[in-house]
Amino acid sequence: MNFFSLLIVASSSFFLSYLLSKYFSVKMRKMGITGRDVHKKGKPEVSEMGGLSVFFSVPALLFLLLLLSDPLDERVFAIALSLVFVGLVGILDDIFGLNHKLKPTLIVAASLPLMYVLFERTSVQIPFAGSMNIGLLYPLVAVPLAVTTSSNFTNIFAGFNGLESGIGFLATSTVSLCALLKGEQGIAMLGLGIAFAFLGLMILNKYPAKLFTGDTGTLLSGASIATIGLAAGVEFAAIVVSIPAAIDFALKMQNRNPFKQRSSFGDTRINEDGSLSPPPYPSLAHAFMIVSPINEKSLVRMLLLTEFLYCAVAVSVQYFLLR
Amino acid sequence: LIKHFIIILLSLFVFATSSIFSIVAIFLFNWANVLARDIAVVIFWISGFAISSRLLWFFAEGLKE
Repeated sequence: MNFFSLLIVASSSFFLSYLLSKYFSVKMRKMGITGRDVHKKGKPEVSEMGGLSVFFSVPALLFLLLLLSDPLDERVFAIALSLVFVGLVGILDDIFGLNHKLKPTLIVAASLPLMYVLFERTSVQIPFAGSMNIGLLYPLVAVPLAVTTSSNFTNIFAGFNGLESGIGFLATSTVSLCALLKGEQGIAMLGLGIAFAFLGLMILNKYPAKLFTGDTGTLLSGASIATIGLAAGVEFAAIVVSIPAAIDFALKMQNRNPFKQRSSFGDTRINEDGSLSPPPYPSLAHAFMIVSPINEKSLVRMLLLTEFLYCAVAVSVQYFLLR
Repeated sequence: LIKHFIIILLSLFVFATSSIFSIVAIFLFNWANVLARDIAVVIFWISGFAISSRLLWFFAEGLKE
């Protein structure tokens, strides 16, 4: 892999995703697939399922990598296939609304291609602890568990303009950079391509959003982090970049009805000055809202800054402790 | 703005605490076999994560205006 190939992959993925996002922002509105932006006055209707632009970028990226690279690693195909399956689960979730039991089960099924190509792998590299050998638990338990957990973390850590696509870009590019540091060039190229697809989507998803990512986008974001992290053997980096979403998940689980908070407590309210007042249950976004008045744009900046710091930690750990 | 940066620092504290918990597990279970030590590391890491994320919310409520 050289810098020129990387530039082609990143730029073509970015422009393809941006053009698709523009198309979907109009098309979804015409089809009536919209959602209410509850953090704006008047709660305007916004087109949904913007994650489709990343979903369609994955096969396009695979085709581009086939043209640019020598014979591609089978793990790159497995990542792409798993992501396409997870994207299909997201589409079903956006259209029909899957329940909380069926969705993780379908994502486990989506991780089968990755389980197959990583069947021989048995250990995880952890700083200070060294190599952690878990035998067959790696392909049979760790792989599906990681893909499902990561997808659901990013699915829950969402709901503000630009947050989902921003997390997708930052986390996926960081895990891909760690893969590159480990010498996994094919996987890193695919990962960076997906990261730039999220960046293309972010142009229409940022505040004020013209397109929501939908579950297609949030599930794909988490699945990208997990599949690239697992396939490249940079599992620890994937865990570190998922920590902000994991904190949000851990806080929400401390409530009595962890999956019914919105129906029980309602949505975040907007004050006259544009600042947000959270409903009374814990989450990472609510922690920012309760300490001092903050509007949606600044809140997303703070959450993305938190994610960025964790990305810096992930790259540092990979470079200094795990190389 | 300072209070928002405190929340960011507290969220980094979650990772630091859970990492310290797992390093403690490595030293505490140095005598045990590799599998037992690895399980202890994972359990200590998750415990540290749960405790410190709860502390994050506790401090955020303390800073409430």
